[in-house]
Amino acid sequence: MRKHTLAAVVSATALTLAACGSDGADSGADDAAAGDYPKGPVKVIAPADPGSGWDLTARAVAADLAKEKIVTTPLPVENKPGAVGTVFLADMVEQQKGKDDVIAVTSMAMNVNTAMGQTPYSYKDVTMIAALSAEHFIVVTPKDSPYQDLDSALKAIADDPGSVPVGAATDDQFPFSLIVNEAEGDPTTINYVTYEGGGEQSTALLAGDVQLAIAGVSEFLPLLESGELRPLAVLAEEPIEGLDAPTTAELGYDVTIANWRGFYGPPEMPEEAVAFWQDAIEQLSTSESWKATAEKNQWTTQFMKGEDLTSYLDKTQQQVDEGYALVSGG
Amino acid sequence: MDALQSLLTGLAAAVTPVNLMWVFVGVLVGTVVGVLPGLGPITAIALLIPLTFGMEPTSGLILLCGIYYGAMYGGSITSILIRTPGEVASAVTALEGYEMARRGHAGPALATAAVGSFIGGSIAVLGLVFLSPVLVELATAFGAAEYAALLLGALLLTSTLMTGSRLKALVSILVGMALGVVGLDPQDTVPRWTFGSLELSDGLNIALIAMALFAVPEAIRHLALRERDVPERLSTQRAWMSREDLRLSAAPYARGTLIGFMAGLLPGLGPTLGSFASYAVEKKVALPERRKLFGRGAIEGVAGPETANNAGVGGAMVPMLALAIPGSATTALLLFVFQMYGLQPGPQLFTRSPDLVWTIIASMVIGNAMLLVLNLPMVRIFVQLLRVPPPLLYAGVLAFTFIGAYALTFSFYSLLVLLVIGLIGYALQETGFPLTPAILAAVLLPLLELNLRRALVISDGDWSTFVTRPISATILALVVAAVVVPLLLATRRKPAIE
Repeated sequence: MRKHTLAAVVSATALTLAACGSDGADSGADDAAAGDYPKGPVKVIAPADPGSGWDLTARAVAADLAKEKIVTTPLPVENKPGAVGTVFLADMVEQQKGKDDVIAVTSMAMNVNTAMGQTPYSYKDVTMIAALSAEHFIVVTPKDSPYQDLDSALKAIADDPGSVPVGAATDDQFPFSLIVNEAEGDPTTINYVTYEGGGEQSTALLAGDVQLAIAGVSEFLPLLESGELRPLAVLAEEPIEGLDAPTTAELGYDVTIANWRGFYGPPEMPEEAVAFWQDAIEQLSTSESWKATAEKNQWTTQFMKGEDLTSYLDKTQQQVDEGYALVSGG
Repeated sequence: MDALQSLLTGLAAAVTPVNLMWVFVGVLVGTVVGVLPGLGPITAIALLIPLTFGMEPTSGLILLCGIYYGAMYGGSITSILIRTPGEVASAVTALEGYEMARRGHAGPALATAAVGSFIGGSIAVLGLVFLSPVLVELATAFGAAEYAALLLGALLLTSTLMTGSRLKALVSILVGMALGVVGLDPQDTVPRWTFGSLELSDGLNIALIAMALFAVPEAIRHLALRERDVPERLSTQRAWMSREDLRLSAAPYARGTLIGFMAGLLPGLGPTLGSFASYAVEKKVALPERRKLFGRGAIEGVAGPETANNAGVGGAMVPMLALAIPGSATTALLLFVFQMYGLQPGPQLFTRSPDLVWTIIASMVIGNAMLLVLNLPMVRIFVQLLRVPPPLLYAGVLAFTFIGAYALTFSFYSLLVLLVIGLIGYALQETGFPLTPAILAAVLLPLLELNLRRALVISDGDWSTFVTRPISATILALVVAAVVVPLLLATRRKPAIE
């Protein structure tokens, strides 16, 4: 008996969640695009586990789109984890062609997967809708580390690469290799220690396992704020607001690659649907709800669509390919 | 004294009707997701995050923390009754708990799990309150070399405790290892045993392996037996612990709390290692006549690990709150929620938002008490499940695990993996191979490999790093003393037995 009640609570919760997306379904006046698209729910796929960056992005965007009444049909978020998004990318290319009721979150990892040959598909095989945000990379060191600035760290790497382990997730090794390359060091000799992400890297930095690490700014934010970690450089053209860190541009390194995040749809997605979503995401990018979300997560809003997006993706792919070639020594 | 005062203030704030309600909802949802295989606290928290946006930060965090430790309670129920661990941390509970249930002791097993969880959960919260500043140092004293040494110790300790044929246990360990290494290697991302499949490059989910090796073979075995009626010994289940059960559980509660809390503190390991280590320790310290009962329903083997996995939650909160370092995927998610509310965990959190932090901590004490009150009367109801005729019960178990497997990746690929590993498990079980070593190996070996290789990359390939670092050297010395020496002595004493 009891079990039934428990199950009822769970399913009721699930229903409430699904209903969140349809709040104010009757006020169609704010529809982003003309025409009657979307007629029904549109699935927002997070091609990773619940709680991952993509998942949180998908859920935040779906919630904000509903809150701002930009999209008034339900936007159920589904997790389709697998091999850094490549499992779902293949599904999108092979099974969803021409559909208009599914979009997915993606990021620079898409470029990395292509560069590493983890997937036969790339951003060119699907409909890239829009980029919404970018997260800058940052190089950090513990507060009591011997490295006072990026140059002294790079010099130590040049002198004896083996003795300077650098903590980085697989995806984040490329930008660091590009910097070392700019500093005319030999990127193939960098002693990378692979970590899953900021949490593991922070532990390693505080335990003294590594003195250098690179990841997205938000990953290190708590410890940067408490002063346990020091920023050596943020990979950007312009300084980041609220973060007292020199940029690579200031330091004379032309490496400003950032982890973009955006959305893609199936190949041959109907034009009406593409236009609707480009419009919806553009509206979202300037809305109050999104501004609050982005600020909390330290995501820099960087909206791009159409030609701009294509040339940005082409440039990023080229840099990532270059970076991967440097890491693998090819 | 200061901390005590703050805790009391927090208690006062937490007992408002609204907050009490959220504690209740949290632990209830937590229990349910703990019971359902595949649906763990991570998924539940991720799904509920959007819902908490509109809530007061205190209420939202109370709710989500409640789900986290509530799930640790729920996980034990199915482990004990139908050998289906809801999440990895409760896989160990299935070892003795299920055997107890098979012998008509499901009630005591469930009761000791609930009491142990309460003790572990509550004392860990007190540890979090009073020892946080000291413990934070410990959490960051462990690097990859220390983790590797610790894991080596845990693995050796647990594998020397296997009963029965050494050779068969070894084969089982190899099977577990083989399952554990599937996927991209953790250092250089080279695919291993993936046969070109993208899905396999992610590795095999450990919860999926646990379900496949525990629940599926057992269910198939019972269905193959074609038993129609409930065996006599199952239909008369004792509902409560005897005085003797309680006496036997007392020491494991204490040790489990300590082991679980310490393991939870270490960001790289989390509650899973705590429950595994607790089981090994209980078996090691048991008196010879009790040790014989391990594997055949020893209550210590339920009490210790269940206490440990709940104590681990309190332990994992220390580095999360004090350093903003998540020890597990679940705490990483909670960290994100704090940030969503504009609260930055870290050394300043206690000074910047003391009211909030202390209210949440106090809510954990209340939540643990609620779980105990909620769970103990339910024991009587839960054991009724064993009166379901075997064909229905085990068909239900299979359906249940398949749903759980699907919920892990939302794809049919998981079902295929569950079925294949489940059939391998069934074949091994029927030919007399123990499956526990396989699970141990699948859980611990990948962690050992990861940390071993990291330590070696960091030392630039120099193996002496393990003996020149003081903590690592100490751990290794203890491992040699505790594991290797008795083994050598034993081999010398009785040369060709078994």
